[in-house]
Amino acid sequence: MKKYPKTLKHKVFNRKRAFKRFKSRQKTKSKLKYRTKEAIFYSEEIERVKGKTDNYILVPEVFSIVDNPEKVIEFITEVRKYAKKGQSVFVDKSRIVKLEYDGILILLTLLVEFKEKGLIFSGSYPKNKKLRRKFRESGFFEILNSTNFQKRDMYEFPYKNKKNILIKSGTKLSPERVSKIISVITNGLFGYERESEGLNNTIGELITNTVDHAGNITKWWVSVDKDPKNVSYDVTIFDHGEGILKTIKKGQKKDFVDNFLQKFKGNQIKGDIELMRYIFDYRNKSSISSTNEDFRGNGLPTTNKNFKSNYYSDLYVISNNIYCDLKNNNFKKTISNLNGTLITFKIFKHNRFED
Amino acid sequence: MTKTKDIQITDIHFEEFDEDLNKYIMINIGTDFSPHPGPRYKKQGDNSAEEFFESKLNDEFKKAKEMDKTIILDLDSVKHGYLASFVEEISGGLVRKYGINNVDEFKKYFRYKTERFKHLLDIFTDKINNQLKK
Repeated sequence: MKKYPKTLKHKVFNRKRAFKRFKSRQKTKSKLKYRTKEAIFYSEEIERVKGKTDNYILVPEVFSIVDNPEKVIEFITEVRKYAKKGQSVFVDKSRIVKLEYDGILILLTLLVEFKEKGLIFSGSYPKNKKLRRKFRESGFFEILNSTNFQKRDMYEFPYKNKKNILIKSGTKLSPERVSKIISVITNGLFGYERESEGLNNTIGELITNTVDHAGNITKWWVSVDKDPKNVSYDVTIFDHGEGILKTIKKGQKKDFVDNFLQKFKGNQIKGDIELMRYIFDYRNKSSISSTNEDFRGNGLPTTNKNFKSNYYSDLYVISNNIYCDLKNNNFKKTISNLNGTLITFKIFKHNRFED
Repeated sequence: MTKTKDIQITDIHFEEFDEDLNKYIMINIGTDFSPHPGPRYKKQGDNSAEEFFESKLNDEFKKAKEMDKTIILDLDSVKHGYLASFVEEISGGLVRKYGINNVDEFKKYFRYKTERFKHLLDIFTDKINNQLKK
């Protein structure tokens, strides 16, 4: 028969040892629990894909429309095709290796579109840890998992734990909200509020363009993101409207546009590129507006003028099938057609502010 | 064909008050309307130029006409500045809206007071001249 030590010394020793082992077991258990959660999540996703309960779409590895326009536009078109059909999708983000803020904004707009229609927009996390954190911080998953999502004219998503990053949307321009965006940027860069006539003008005019041409149902989206190195802010303005060229071509200044394009007869690509150049050229005496009012059409030339005046840097415009890198004055045609417009630029400390 | 006289910056820039203050109607856009002026039309968003005309300028222009006064638009108290379309409305738009036919008529009714947005005066003259030539 086994002998149990009953002395006080042994009792204390046993108790201590048991407590240590209990603690150690607890620690392992919690780790296990965490791992299991992730594993379950992952396997559930795979099962869902295997079972083909949703339409499976693979997110491009480089998920930034500026860096990888063709693939990203194809992705947007494919996802929206299912939204129009009223079908749910499974978006596989596991293979993303590069994710920029314009990519997060695009995914968010698509997610909201699906949520508003009551459709499921499921997907997987990126495998890359840093990108997974970027996603988590964006608040993307809070919206994804929200059970009582309500359709609204305006949304505001401040990034989790980061006061300097936010995403706004709406169907009308609110100048106060534009002012708040400028305040976030200048406070983030300088630690105090500064004024920027150029930023106010550009963001306001671009939103107004969306309100005018993308229709009241389509929302404008603005995302303001602080660079991880704290040296700049990325501003992205996006809408799922018709796009600049399409709107201009079918607008009331159709005759002017047709005459313009006539010069490039037989070379439609060059025609479209040159038309886009003309639209952004603020030195033109007459601007092109989709309305027949010749005093209008100030928004896009002003965007370029403010860029040249150093209110912001690295201006890119992607709309329909034209990709404009205004920094290098490089305009090119894309194979894929983006229904909508995405405009993005960076703001550094060295850019122009009024005071 | 006679060439229409162009408006100059000196014609529209208001710098000093005359001794007779009764000659003027002052409108400070930042304090009398909004520190955040918005787009051109009401349907586009808040604090639009259209709203500015309806809530403020139309009545004041009527008064100015009846009492032979000049409206001074004080531009400086707004927060970040103006959108290009708002700028167009408060320059070329005045010509369209109030049926102004020539430079003298414009000078008689409208002037801009600004220290902060002097660069806009150039744009104003352009927009006004464009509209007057139509």
